[in-house]
Amino acid sequence: MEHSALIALTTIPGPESQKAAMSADASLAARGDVRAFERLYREHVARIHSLMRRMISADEAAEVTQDVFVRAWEKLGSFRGEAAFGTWLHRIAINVALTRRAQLGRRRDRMDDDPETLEKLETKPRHGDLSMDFERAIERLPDGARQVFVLHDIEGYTHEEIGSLLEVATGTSKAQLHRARMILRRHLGREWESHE
Amino acid sequence: MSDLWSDRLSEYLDGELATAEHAELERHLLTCAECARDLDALRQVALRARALPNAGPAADLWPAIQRRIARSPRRVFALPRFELPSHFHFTLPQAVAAGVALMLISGVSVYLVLHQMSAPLAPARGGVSGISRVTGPTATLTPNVTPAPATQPRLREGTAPATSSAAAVAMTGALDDPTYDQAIAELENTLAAHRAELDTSTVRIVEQNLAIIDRAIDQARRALAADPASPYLHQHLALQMKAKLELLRRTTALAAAQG
Amino acid sequence: MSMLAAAVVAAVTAAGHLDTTLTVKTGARLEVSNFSGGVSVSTWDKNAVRVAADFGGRTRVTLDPSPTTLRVNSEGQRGTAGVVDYQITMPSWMGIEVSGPFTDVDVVGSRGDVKVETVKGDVSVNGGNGVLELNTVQGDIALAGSKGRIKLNTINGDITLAHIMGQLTTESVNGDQVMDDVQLDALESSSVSGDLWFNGALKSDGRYHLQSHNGDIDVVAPDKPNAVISVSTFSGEFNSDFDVTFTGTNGHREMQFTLGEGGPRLELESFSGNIRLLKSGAVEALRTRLRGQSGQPAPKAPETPKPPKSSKSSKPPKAPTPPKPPNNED
Repeated sequence: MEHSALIALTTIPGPESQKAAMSADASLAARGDVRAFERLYREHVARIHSLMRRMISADEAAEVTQDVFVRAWEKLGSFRGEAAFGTWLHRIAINVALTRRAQLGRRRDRMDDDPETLEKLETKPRHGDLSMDFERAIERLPDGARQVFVLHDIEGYTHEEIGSLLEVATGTSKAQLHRARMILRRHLGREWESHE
Repeated sequence: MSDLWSDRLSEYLDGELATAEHAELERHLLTCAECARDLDALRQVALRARALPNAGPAADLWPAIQRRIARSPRRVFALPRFELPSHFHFTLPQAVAAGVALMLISGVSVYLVLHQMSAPLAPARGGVSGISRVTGPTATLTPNVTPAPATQPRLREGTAPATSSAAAVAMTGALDDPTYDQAIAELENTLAAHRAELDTSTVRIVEQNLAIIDRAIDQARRALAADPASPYLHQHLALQMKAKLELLRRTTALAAAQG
Repeated sequence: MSMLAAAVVAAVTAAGHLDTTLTVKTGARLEVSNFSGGVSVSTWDKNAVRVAADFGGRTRVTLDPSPTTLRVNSEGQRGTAGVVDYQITMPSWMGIEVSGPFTDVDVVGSRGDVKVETVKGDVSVNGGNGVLELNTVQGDIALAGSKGRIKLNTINGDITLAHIMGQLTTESVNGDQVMDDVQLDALESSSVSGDLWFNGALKSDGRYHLQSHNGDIDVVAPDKPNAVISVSTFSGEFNSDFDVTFTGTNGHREMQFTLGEGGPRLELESFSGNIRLLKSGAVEALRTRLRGQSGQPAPKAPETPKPPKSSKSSKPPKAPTPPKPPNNED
């Protein structure tokens, strides 16, 4: 079931430019050109896959990324170039991720915001690849904080937009963001020592 | 340890505090080392987030995507109004005896029901939408497809086969007809139009299972081509084709119900 | 029916809890519609229905009693409903119908009709008497202690049955089916690539048809079985723990034989899977294996309702075994 709130978004900040012209590949793909679609896939898969990994899980990211591209192909017929292809694709990805989250919501343990969960998070950063450690720390955030952090700090949505997507009050979004950042600061790297 | 201001630090960082509050927090930062340190950490987190690299999946997903979109026609075409070809008939008593019933659904699709027992299987289950409901008259049709005697199986010893061979042959002959293909095509078309209404994991599961059934149909067809007189193979192929129709019908009903 | 003439609406704007009980008259039915979450039903002797629900924000639960049916619905105030978990207690005589795409359903203690329709949800019913129809696409179905006209259908999940009487139809595409300790008048069991396992009494005028494309079929027979059996396969193997003498074969991979005095008709067909006729010692081995897979016992009589659940959300499709080249040994 499509997440209807997404359709209300009209502006999405982010690195993609806001130019309305359709890229040649998007235009070709919309008319059924599979090779053009493959080029679009290669151009955007890293970003979509990372988004899925951060919003859902590492285990499911590959599978859900496939779903996103298949869904994009199906909907390309209705893509009119009103936004850059990457932006349009990104909306689809967010939509898929949120719908999946809504379905999985019935597994109550996934929505665990229990303070004890926070205690289980590592307080000392591991040695090694610092950005991997940071990514893993994001994956271990409590669900609500993680969604907001990914959408705000990584993907660049505003709290108003996030409130609309996640169906929470703007204040809740701000509180969750702050909470996520406060947890994650312990995983910045060796130069930041844990104070716990 | 936290004070009144520590919870507002993120808002301050993002420039979301009202002017007066912003000024107050700024004054507070001059005197509170802990808040200043926290603010710095938060800034680093936000910067790190912005700079996170994107990584694609370990394996190339394109082959799987390509397979899936190949199965997903984005064509939209109007099917010609469905009419049974004039040569394609069964008499009702023969149909019942053979355990085969053809039912017209909404006057357009054909839902093939195969059943070996004397009592026919219940037709399309009442699903979550009206698509599965049978409307229109049950067809009464007269066959002139009679299997040649050579195709009758010969038993080594006199025990009747579990299947009705004549009916099986006649029916799979009918299944090679445009009849079945048209029913499948219409269902696939409806499904394609509504596919986006289904959640993606259900779409994936349905596609996987359609692929399983298609493989089974293909294997059964090839086996039948090698042994065209086998009543079992006729019936088995018919059952797999029915399974495909049923899966498509059910999925289409689901998609339409969730739309 | 309850004194309420109009719909009872529980409108909540924040996460909430509902707990209300309505009286019902004998013969009334219950219909529950829930988009996502769980519906857990148990029974009591009172002529009343208790509906307790936990739900998140922006969802409401409506109870709508009509003279014949009590309808319970989850509705979203904006768009789709959120997750709702229901705990319902109803009279054991009451017929119930539950539907919803992402809802797990379990019903314990019913002595009436049970119908469930879901897409991505598991269904577990312990009890039921009359018309039982359980449909899911991705989920597993577990049924125990039931009697009547039973139809089960799943696409990608497993079907596990125990202590069933009546007429049974089971269909799966990619799921296995286990039918343990059943006493059926008639059976139609079919799958495309799932295995079928049957251990049950065979009635003298009964007809039992198990068919699959590439799934294996195992049938456990009593020690001195009486049955007329036909076996059909294209490239699978047939093995029997019992001595069999073929009474008929039509030269096209169908074989018939009779065990004991004949009577019940057993038709086993698998295009490329293996078909086995087993002695009763096989039952314990299967039950042990099922316990090992799930950590829980195979379904027992009504007091212990847990079904074996294999936790696969997207079960990899079983690759059909390529058919062996046709041989003409028959």
